[in-house]
Parts: sequence; C-alpha cells; structure tokens
Amino acid sequence: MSQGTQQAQASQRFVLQLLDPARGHAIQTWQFDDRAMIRIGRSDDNDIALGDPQVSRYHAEVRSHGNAWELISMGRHGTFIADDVVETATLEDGAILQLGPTGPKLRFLLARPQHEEETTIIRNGPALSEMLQLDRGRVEQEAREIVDSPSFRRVQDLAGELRKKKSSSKDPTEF
Amino acid sequence: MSKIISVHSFRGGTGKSNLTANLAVAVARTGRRVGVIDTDIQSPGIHVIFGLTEDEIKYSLNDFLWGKCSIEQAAYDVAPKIQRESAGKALVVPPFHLIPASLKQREIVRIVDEGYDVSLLNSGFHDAIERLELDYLFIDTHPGVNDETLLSIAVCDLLLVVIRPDNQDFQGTAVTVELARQLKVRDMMMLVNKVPPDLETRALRGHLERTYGMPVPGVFTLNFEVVQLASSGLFSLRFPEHPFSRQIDIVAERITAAPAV
Repeated sequence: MSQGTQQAQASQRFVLQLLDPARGHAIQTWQFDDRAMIRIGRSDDNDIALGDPQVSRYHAEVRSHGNAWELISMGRHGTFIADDVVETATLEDGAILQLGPTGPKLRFLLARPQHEEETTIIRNGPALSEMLQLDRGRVEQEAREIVDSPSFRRVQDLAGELRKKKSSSKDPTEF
Repeated sequence: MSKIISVHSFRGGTGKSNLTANLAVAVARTGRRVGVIDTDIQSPGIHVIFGLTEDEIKYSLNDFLWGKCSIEQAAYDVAPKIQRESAGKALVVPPFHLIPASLKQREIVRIVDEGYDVSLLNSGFHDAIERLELDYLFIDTHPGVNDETLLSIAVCDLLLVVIRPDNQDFQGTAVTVELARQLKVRDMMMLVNKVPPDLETRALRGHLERTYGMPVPGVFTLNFEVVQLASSGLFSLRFPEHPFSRQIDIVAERITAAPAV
C-alpha cells in the first residue's frame, strides 16, 4: 500500500462526542471509520439519533470533502458553530456544533480520545463489502464509452436548453 | 421554482414505479402540485398503481410525441382516485397529474421500432411544468441507459437511484451514477428496495453511501404485504403505519426539504 493511500484512509476516521449541557464533558462518543458521510437527526435511521425537540428529523450531515470534513446543515432550527449559524462549514478538529440555538452540542474530533468508555463504533461488516463489490475500472470504461458518443453530447445540449427555459420561466425565490 | 425528480434504476424489477408513485403521493399530501410522467414507454405500468384504466386514457405520452396532442391533453388528474385510496381517512390533495405512456401493444411496438425525437420529450417536460403549474414533476424512467433515460437524468434537479442489494445492480448502477455526474446532476439520492430482512440496514446504508458517495435516505425491506399489493394500489395510503410507508414519508420529507440548488 502506498503512503498516499495510507494517508487517504487515515483521514476517513473521525469522532463526534455528545457533550453534557451543564458541564461540557462527553457523555456519548461515536467513532466513524471509513465513512464518506454520516447523518445526524431526530429520526432513528440517522447515524446519530438525538431525541431532542430542537433537532430536526434530518438535521445535519458530515461529509468527506477532499482531505477535510464538511458540515451541511438541513435542520429547521439551524446549526451553530461558535454562536454563528452555518449552512455549510469545514469542520476543524475540536469544533463544537450546536443543533438549534439551545439544543444539544457535539464536539468534532479527528482522533479518538484515549480511555473513552462509551464509544459506539460504526463500521461495515466484511460480509457486505464482499457481497457487493465494484470493478471501478470497468465502470469508468463503460461510462467513458457512453460519454464519448454523439447522442450523449446531444442529450447534454438538450438538458442545457431545458434548464435555461426553466430558470427563466419562474421566480427562483418561490421555493 | 418547480423541481424535476427523476427516478431511475439500472435494471427492471427494482420496484421503481411503486416507489415513484408512493413518493409522489407523499409529496402531494404536503400540498404541492405534483405530476408523474411515465417515460418507460416500452413497458408502461405506473398508471395501474393509480388505478387509471385503458378506457380512461384518450391520449398518452406516445400521442404527444407523435404530435397528436398537447402534453396537458395527455395528463389525467388522478387526485380523486388517490383520495379514495386513503384507508377511509379524509385526504385532500391538490390536482395530481399523471401522464401515462400508451398501453396499446401496437403503439408500443411502433414507438420502439420508429423511435421519436428526444427533443420533443424535453419540450414535454417543460410544457408539463408550465401548463399544469407543477411544483414537482416525477419522471418514471425506463431502466438501463438510452437517450430518453439520459435526458431524464440530465434535466432533473434530483435523481433518485433505485437499487436492489444485488451484484448486477451494483455494477450497472455505478455506471449510471458516473454518467449522471458527467451530466452535472445537481443532487442525487439512493433508495434500496427489496432488501432481504436478514441484512443489517445500517451497515448496508453505510456501505452504499461510501461506495456511491450519496445519501441513502430510504432502505425498504422486502416484505410480503408490499409484494402482495404492489402495482395494484398505493400501499402507503392503504397502510400508513407500515414500515414501508414510514420510509416513504422519510424520503418524501428529504425531497421537500432538499436545500435549494
């Protein structure tokens, strides 16, 4: 394995800690290994499910963005970093996010703290990865053959026309 | 601004039309004006889920593509049929327009043999949105990759990729996703359907999100009730408390809450 690959994999690990509202220490820790994105919200099917009324069913996502991690806020009550409401933000090591103006706080860390007892580790079982595998070389080759065809370029042109028509026909602030 | 939601799967039999119909209705229940267009001209089917019969269809998408009618003449307001499906509970939805493809075998054969001008389909999407005053247009696409499906993918604001946990789907879907990225699709989500009950859904979701780099808001477990009803009614209205229906609501919420692009 090359050094570059090792570095890319190392950046795929991060930790989120739910903080005690009064004293600020971690009361629950989630470590995510090898994930491109995770979701936070009130609904049970989020990776971090928090049953707090200030948390929307799907409140925020943390996504891999190059070598960094990015927060995308989707919740109705907003997501705050250092008292500023953010829609998207690059997460620095140690950043504290608050879901809603006075909702739960989460600390973002790039490394797992030592002596952490209450960690939930989320990773994928090997059986699933073995069962569903991609031949990426073949995917790229097949896609390239289609992209190079004249009909693909025609579709691109037509789609461009529709987008132009659509954007000029309605008030874009309506939604 | 209106949004086009294309629903696509690499292979047939993923339950794409059933998911499209149930999601479109869930969005309509929030008060939005919704249209559904069946561009699966070779094997049309979504009309059955809405209870639209052949006798009721004077003009179809095929007629529009042959220049015989306008797109709104091929659109049928199925809101009353949707309301009748709602498990005895009062349900009010705005006008809900279904644009079916022809069910007549000779018309299917003709359009497959002769083909049609794909730019007309493009005009059809635009006209449908404008003239039917739609907030959301759902496109039920033909599986696989051809000019129509590529166009449906290229023009959408959100692409919903339907997949089964199956190795053949897995590889072909990756090609479609790569093409969608080349077509600069603004937003993509994946729905996994017909998941065997013994698969751990959270691990499956994580694996798919990592592999395809997109959210997987809906994981639908294969179950007897859905199989029994699918294609003959709107499951999520008949059984609103069923886990399948709850997943539909979750995905619909994601669709309507998707940030502006």
